[in-house]
Amino acid sequence: MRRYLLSRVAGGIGTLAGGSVVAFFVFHLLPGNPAEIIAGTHASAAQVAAIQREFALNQSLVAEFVGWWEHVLQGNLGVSVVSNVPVSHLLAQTLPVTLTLIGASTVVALAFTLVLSLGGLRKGSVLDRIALGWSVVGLSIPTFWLGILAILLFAIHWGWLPAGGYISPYSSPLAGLKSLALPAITFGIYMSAIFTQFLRRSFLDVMREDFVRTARARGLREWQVVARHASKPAMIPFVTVVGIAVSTSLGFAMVVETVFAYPGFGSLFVQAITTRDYYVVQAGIMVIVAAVVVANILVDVAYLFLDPRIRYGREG
Amino acid sequence: MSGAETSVRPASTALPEPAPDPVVEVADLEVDFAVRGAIGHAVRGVSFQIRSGEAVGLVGESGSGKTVTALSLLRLLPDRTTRVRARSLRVAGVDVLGASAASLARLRGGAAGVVFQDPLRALTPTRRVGSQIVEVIERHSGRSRTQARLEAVELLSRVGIPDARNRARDYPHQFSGGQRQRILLATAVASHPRLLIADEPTTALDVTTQSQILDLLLDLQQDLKMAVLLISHDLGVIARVCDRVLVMYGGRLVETGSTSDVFRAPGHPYTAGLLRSIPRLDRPGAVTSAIPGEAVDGFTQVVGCAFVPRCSLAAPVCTECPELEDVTPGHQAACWRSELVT
Repeated sequence: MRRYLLSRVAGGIGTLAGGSVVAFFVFHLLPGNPAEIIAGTHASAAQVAAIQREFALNQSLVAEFVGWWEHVLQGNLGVSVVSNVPVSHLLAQTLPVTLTLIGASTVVALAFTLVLSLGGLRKGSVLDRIALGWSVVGLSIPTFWLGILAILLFAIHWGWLPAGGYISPYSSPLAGLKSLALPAITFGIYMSAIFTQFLRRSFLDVMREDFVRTARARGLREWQVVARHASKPAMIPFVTVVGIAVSTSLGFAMVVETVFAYPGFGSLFVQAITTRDYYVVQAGIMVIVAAVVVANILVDVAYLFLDPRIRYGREG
Repeated sequence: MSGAETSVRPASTALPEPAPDPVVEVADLEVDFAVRGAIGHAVRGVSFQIRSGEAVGLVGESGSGKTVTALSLLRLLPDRTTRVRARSLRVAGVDVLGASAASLARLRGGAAGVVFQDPLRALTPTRRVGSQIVEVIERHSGRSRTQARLEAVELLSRVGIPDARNRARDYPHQFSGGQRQRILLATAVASHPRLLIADEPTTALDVTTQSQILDLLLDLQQDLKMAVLLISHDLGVIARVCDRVLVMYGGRLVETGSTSDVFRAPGHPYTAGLLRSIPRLDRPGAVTSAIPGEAVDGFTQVVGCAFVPRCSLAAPVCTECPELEDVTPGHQAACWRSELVT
């Protein structure tokens, strides 16, 4: 069990290292050098040289990469070229906002999913058909379109909820939840479509297993069969999907946050790309890679709880 | 085919005391199933009884309907794709087809336990083996959890799991195949059922383990005075355990009788063929022969006797469907020409 966890963490560190290479070199692969990109198209040679000096971009690539890592390990992610604010400050400001959004969306998604996926207990039941329809429709609707539609209806037409912006639900719960509602539901619907598809399938498969028949042959009532025998095995493939979805949702947050003018990490990252904010983009890529790594490790930890075959090794 | 010797169990050890009411009473059982729009007939008019404490074997090739027959006894077939009908279907006094969900649940695992073929797949991989026994005891014997736990440990050591107290906390994958089957047996008999249905309980095991599991099965049967319905394609297994045997072919019973009668003088050419296909260690020179041709499945339209295409005794009369008729008292075969069977 300890070896299992250590190997996962080691793998995660490897992924982070690989990700850092991509994060670092992405700007160097663009035509021109980073200093020219930062300076913009109309800058003079002197300005470019000044930027090169300022950002220590005039050394060899390897030296620069090593220097960058040294700073990162000291907690120094650089300073935003655009706003002159330290990148770590920007992240500290925006990440909690985005994590709140992702958390709320995941809760919305799981609520939809758990109810709908119960349809997978009986193939062909009404609920099962709704679940199937939901997963097809939910995946087909573009999130930005759904977001715009939600704003038009709930914010502009009916005026029930704010059209965008963010109020912290930790300091003012009611207004905060109202500001979260539309983006979280928009995002949650998309996530729940993915989740429902997988959990329904997973339940359909598990309910056909021999051990479910055995549990029925023991005279357990159907809810006991599901709760005690089917639910854990059905969750095993499902947590993988939740892990992938939540870790990639940082990327998806860009779409949702842009639509709802939501001041989170996604908006920051999109802005940094359009303004070629060198250090912010680098740090942003690292954050996304780190999110994937952390989510994967959490999924592996979840396996430990769900699957005794991993907890105690394969045999004996 | 198993290496277990094909010796017939002495009839004298049977039946502790014949109870008047049969544990299982099946009359004209029909099971239809739907696969991609087509309707198949898995069981076509099967009738039999099992008395208290009696061990009955159900033999046939795969697809003959033996497992479907056994599962219908507790309505364990998927509702959506199968239809079960019968003039009468009673298990331990419960009218299975008319029973409410609640009384059906009391019957399952209560008066009737089931053991399935593949013990790794039949035990829930994410649940401790102890809990899988405890839940049966709790559900059907109304014991407190503490009491049920004690009984479960007792039962585990009764079925031959060493260090039962600690091993009750282990998961199925931590046991060997034979031990898993012992555990599955323990879950099936935990509520002291009147009937144990065992569907190919030893097929997934190696020969030595197979023999130990059969010993355990016989042991438990004597101890708990259970009736046993043992499903197997292996005549050696049936001969060792069963007082009586039912032979199925193409969804019908083609022969029934005491194990000794049927094995000594089969009345149906299919049974005779099955017996000839067993390798005999005690008669080294004897020729082993497989039954030619392929078994019918539920989708085959059958007119008359289903065995005709594979039968060396087939005659014009066989286009009419034969009923089970006495070969000798208590031994019946559904064959027009049973007196010619050798």
